[in-house]
Amino acid sequence: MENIEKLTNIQVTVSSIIGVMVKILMVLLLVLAMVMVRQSALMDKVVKLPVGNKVKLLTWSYFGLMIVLTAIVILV
Amino acid sequence: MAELFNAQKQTEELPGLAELEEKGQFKNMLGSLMVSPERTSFESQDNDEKVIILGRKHFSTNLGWMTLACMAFFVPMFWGEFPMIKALTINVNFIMTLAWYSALLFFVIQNFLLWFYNVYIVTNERLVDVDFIGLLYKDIDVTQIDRIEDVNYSQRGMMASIFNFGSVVIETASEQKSDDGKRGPDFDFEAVANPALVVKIISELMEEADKNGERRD
Repeated sequence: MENIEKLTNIQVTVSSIIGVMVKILMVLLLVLAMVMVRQSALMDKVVKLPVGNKVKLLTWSYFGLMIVLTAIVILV
Repeated sequence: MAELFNAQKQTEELPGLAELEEKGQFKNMLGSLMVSPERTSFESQDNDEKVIILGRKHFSTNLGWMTLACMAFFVPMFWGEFPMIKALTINVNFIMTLAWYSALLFFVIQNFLLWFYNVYIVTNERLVDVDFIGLLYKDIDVTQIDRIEDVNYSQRGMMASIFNFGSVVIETASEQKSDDGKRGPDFDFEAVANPALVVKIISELMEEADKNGERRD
């Protein structure tokens, strides 16, 4: 294990492992946010309500927020 | 005269559909029961079809996930107490907190969406039950008013008694089962707010269909 670390010049720590896992989680959440945006549009098509546009705006806002947060998490 | 004979006079009669429409009650779009909602339609609605009731589960059925979300909100404030998390670098701690709140927000929005769009619709022609299960599965059941055989409701449990909600079960003449084969031809609207009122309005519509000679018995 030590040799591999010397070879790749990367120090594997608990922090780095958890960091990678969190980054994967954020990407997964971004995909789920995308699914949610699509689903809310479909739900609004099935049942058209006066506040449906506001609900769609909420899911789009969440998706936008997730893009920003995922970018921050991947860059940190 | 004994009190027993006066009891009938003292019971408060539920308002009918015409009375509710006149008074303009139950109009809140975020409420659990809307009578004659404005600017509301659904996918397969006919031109002359009018939405009479739009309902969803009673708001108090959300208390479970809301409590869970409130508790989860405070978790990152205490996870520094765990030695393993304490050993992480500040950057990793920061992105972990961000991921936690993102997942929590997803949980809240998803549960809200499922509550908001899982509705039942009563029109002057039929009943529509729209069920979204998770984000990827939807189940829509439709029956004509003239195919309804019986309507009843039940209120079970303390919460149902306190908040006045219950299950409305509608028996139909249909023999068709749901695609998974688990449910029969009956419609079951769960946790309906003011179930007695909903049953009364559906009964009124059934009587009207009877008068018009539309019923298929």
